[in-house]
Amino acid sequence: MSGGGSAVELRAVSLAFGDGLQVLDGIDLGVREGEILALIGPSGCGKSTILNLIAGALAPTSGSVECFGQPVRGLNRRVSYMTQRDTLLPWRSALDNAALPLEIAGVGRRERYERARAELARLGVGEFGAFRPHQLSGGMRSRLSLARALLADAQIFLMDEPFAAIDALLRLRLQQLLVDVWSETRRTIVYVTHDLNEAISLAHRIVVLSHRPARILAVRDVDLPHPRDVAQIRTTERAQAMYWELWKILEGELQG
Amino acid sequence: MAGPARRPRRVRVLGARLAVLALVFAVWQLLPQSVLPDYAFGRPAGVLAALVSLISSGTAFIATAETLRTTLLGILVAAPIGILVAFAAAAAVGAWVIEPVTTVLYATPKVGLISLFILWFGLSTRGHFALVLMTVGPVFYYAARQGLSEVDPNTVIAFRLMGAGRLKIARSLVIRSMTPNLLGVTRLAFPIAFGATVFAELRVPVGVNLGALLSRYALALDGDNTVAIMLIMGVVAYILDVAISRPLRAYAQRTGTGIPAV
Amino acid sequence: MTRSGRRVDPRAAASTAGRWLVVAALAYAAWRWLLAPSVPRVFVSDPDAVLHRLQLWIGDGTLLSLVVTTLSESVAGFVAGSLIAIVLAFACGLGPQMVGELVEPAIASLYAMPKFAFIPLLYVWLGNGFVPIVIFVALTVLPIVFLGMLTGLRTVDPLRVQMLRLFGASQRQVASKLLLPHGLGYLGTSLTIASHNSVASAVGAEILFGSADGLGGTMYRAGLTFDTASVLAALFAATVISSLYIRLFQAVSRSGSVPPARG
Repeated sequence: MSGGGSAVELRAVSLAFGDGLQVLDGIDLGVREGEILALIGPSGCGKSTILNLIAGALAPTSGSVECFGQPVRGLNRRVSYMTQRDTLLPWRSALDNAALPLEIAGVGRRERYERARAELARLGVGEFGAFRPHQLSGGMRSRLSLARALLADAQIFLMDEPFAAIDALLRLRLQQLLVDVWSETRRTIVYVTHDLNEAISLAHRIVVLSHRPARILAVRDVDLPHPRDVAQIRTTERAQAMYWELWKILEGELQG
Repeated sequence: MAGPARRPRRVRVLGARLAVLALVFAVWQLLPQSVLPDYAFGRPAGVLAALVSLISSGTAFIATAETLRTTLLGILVAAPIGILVAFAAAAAVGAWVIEPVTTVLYATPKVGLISLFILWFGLSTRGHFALVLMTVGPVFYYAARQGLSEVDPNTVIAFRLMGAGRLKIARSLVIRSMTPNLLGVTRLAFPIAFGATVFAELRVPVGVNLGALLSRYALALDGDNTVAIMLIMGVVAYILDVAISRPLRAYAQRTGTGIPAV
Repeated sequence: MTRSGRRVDPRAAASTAGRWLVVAALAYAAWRWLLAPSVPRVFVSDPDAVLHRLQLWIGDGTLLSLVVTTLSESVAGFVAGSLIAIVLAFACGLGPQMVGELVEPAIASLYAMPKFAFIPLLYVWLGNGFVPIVIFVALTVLPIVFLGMLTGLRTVDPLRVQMLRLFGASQRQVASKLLLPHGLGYLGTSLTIASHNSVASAVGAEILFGSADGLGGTMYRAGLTFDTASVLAALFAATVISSLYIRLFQAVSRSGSVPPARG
């Protein structure tokens, strides 16, 4: 199922912002290479902050963050980060947006357009290559961002509620797409969500965080078989039992 | 950046700025007449002497006071007129006629009106005042009109259902909605009015005011005094802006009003 | 379809045109009616005299020549001022911070200063003519475009910068792929605002310089000879030119613009 080695290691990580706001409190977290790890917890608890630490956009106040055994210093080039807010460039076409990481890496024009076109087609937005982001729907923009992230060819994917603003039906399709992509590429994915169903459907392991200052409340293996049918998996007994178990843990936090 | 690193940086910036200023003065002093004639630009030492003389003789203050009088009086009179016309234009009947008129007035280069005012008032300071009025009035008109158009019609209906009369609506809702626009435009109005005053004074250089002095010194080929007056104008413009924007910003923060451009 | 792509409702357009015609007719009638025979024509002139003057100018090509002079001063000054402002804004926004610390206060102090105050110096230095007026218009335009562009450059979304750096972009790549196109997006707005000024600046400069040519020059000379009809005719022409100029700018900036850089 997973590669076995450690992709990311957070040891005793705490983070407090300058104004004294304690966001994370003693987080010990390991992400195995090749797995999909879901982070769930109440809103504002610091899930995105953990992603920022892995990406190197933030440094912990205490504790250490390691990526493939190396300490994370400055922006971590080994990750691809799909943020909640899309960072597509409005003056570029979808194709040019997708090809951006290849362009930065110096890949030749013809090759990068070929690869970008292929990726867009694979994600079902092939005909929209000439359109600008503002002409695309939310779902298409998400797929475009995902295409771009995949073309960056990083070893770790960080995803911060990437499909949160999409309607429920389209979301199922995109989740299935993500699972299928994982099956093909076996990347390590750290996925932040507040949707229990989504976490159970997608992840190999789920980490439950408390409200701020965040601690780890529970870590559960999702022993459902891969490859998964996202729509169908949540109807199974095992998934429903897991849902209930996690809900119980979270319920207490939400009242806090 | 961490605290200890910041202080040397500020000192470095200040040092760099002073160095650049010193360079500018040196170049200004030393460039030959053929490149930078002193009858136009003056020389640093001469300008300084001129400034000292203008200030100690009181001329600088008298002239500034006169120019500011025109500027401020112009704003004080133009603002209410502009706002009233905006109200008149909001009424259905008024809008039809007033709108094309104000659009034309807005598009007119107001500086052209000075020629008309010279024909009407002759070479007098009335022309200065008239130009400021015509330049600033439309600015307030458009700000007030914008404010009026932003009044939420749903809130108006709610008020009327509660039995509020027209006057009450005008007071609590309309004026409150217009205030941020008007305050924002007040900040703009001062440099606009000041600029119009200076223009009028330059074209009609009568009386003791900054524009008239500037015009006379320049035509007398007195570069030192010319630049001195320009510097005084710059300082006055800066003080005017600070004097307006600081209280405006404080008011905005205190009352939570969002004032554009402050 | 208009240049901006919006559909023009023919009935609305006709009713606007009709309304303007009616108001113009009313204004003409009111003018003639208020003009009692005893009022000296030097004050308000005769609407017929003004129309006659305009007709004359159109006929013998004077109007065209005046408009070309004034417009060429505006456009030349506008282009020169904008180009310098853009270069300076990019130098301050993208370059080493010290550049910004030195240049920005200089231009900010120019911003508040009444620009017409520079004309006596320009007149004494360069005399009357095309070049000093162009320099003046450039001076008027520069701080506006500079400030607009600099603000634009400084409001780049840090999340986008982070995105590029995570993809491995160097500082130069961040500048060329993000900051530059982002900043240029603000150009349209700044230029439109600056354009409002440039025709009026040119006319005002011609008046103060006492130019022989151009619409402002005509206002000046006609004023000297108490030729009110010419003053009003020139004023009218300047109004029309000014509003066309502004409309043209709005249309161009709208058609070429990119929607604001929001997620």
